Amino acid sequence: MFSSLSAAVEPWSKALNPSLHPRYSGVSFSLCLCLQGRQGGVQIDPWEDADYSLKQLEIERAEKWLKMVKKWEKYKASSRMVKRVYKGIPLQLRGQAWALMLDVEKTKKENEGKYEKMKEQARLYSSEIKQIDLDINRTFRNHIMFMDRFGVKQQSLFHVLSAYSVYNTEVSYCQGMSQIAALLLMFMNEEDAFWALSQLLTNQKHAMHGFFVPGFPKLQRYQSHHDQIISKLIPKLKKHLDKEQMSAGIYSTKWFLQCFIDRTPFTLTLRLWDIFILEGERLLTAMSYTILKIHRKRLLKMSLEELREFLQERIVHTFFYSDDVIVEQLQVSMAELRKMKCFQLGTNCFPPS
Amino acid sequence: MQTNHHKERLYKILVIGDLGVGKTSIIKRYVHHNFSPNYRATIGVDFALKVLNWDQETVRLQLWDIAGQERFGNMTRVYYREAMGAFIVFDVTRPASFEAVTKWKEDLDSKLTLTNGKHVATVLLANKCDQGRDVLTNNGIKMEQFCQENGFVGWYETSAKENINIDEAANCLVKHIIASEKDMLQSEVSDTITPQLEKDKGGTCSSCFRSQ
Repeated sequence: MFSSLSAAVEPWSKALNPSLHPRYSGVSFSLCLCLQGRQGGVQIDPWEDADYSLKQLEIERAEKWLKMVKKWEKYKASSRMVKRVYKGIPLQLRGQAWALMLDVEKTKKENEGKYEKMKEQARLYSSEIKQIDLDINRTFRNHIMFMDRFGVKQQSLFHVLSAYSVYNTEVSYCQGMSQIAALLLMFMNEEDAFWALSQLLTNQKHAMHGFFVPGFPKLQRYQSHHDQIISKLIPKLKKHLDKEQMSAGIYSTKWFLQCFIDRTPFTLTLRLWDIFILEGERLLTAMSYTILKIHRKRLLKMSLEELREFLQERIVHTFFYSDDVIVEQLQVSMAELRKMKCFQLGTNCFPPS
Repeated sequence: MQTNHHKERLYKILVIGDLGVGKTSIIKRYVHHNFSPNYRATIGVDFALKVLNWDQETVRLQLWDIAGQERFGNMTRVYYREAMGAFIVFDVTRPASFEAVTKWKEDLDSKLTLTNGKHVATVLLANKCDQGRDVLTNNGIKMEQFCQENGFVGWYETSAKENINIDEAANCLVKHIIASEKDMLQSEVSDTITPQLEKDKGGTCSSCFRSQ
């Protein structure tokens, strides 16, 4: 057992020293990498973008965000900031904005030296090394940052996950976490990503801990809540899904555990994550409902296999509507659910009529 | 789920085994005839449909891809229901994944039995055989013995990447599923009491035996 464990660690300690890797120096570089997302093969260089006005808009937004992150105390509770999150955080400032919303700096300060210590402990004691290694091998491999086996970002991912597995012993490592940590690493350095992950799991707003602990208590609550919502608000579709034996357990597990990573087009995933980090868990409830609501007419005509293909593959490539339209619809759903007091989990938001 | 009209059969098949042994890759190879090194981890469950022509009949296989991490066990066992067969997969380059095979088999047998009380047909797949052979799978006789002792109907060295033996393994499983289905039908017949009216006893009781 021990020998196979150290065999799994070895390549990670032997791999390149990140600071020596020429491809990962420079901030602007990582910026353009993000634009490519994971649409492997489709490489659109941002500077070749013909859509000038869109670019102009992006620059204006970046300037506004720069001002906000500099004076975060002033803006952090403002409705202007909320509105701007829904419009999408500019790529250059996404990492900073996420870190501010998740209180990463504060958490890091309160735990100085902890991350390094956990990394070291993980190297010696983590029982999850092998599983983590196997999952890193298939996390965002179409994304240029995670393409190279044992490349610098894969190493960071390995360290974040293995350190977390000894830091939070109740959760340790659960599949689904590698996608989240990788997404954080696209916009943050290693230690910040670690504390951001930690915040996502344990703060009150996101509390993803319950999604990943053995037994998945929160997942089950969210899935049955989701079922309640769709039975009430889109009952025809719910009946159809039941008839085809397409259960929330099949289609929505990644929606909840990974907040739509791998299940929506990458650009939309990022927009959803902006909102998720701002609003917390209610985004999951609202977006799950929104996906089915938007596509209900199509879904009603589909068989079990077609439903699977549509919800798990087709809409990953194209959602049929622009990201802005989806976010708008999401806000409509949120208002609708809020009005019906549907964000209070645990209470039965739809008493039998 | 079983639809028998138009001579069409639907069988549910489970694909189980440790994390990262190649369950998803095997299914994609079999159903979509392709391979990608970039499949993502299956979280929870997934499934795919394969349509086969089998003795002038259409056989539809619903292959259920079950997450390999142990933690997902309780969640995914729900999907074992009504399965008629299973593949248990291990990775020949990782002996630990072979050691887990018996655990997966025991778990499968404890959670799933056919209506006649028998276990579902299960084929063992030694996957990633393109990456060098394990000492163990080199020894065919030992593997045969292992299969017999643990109730596998057969085993194959497979490679989803190089498309080795996937169709063969599936055909073997389908053959055994059809056989066990026949077996089930027969045992049902022999166990069933078929009441028959004995004419000369006369209608002693109520209206249903009134002479016509």
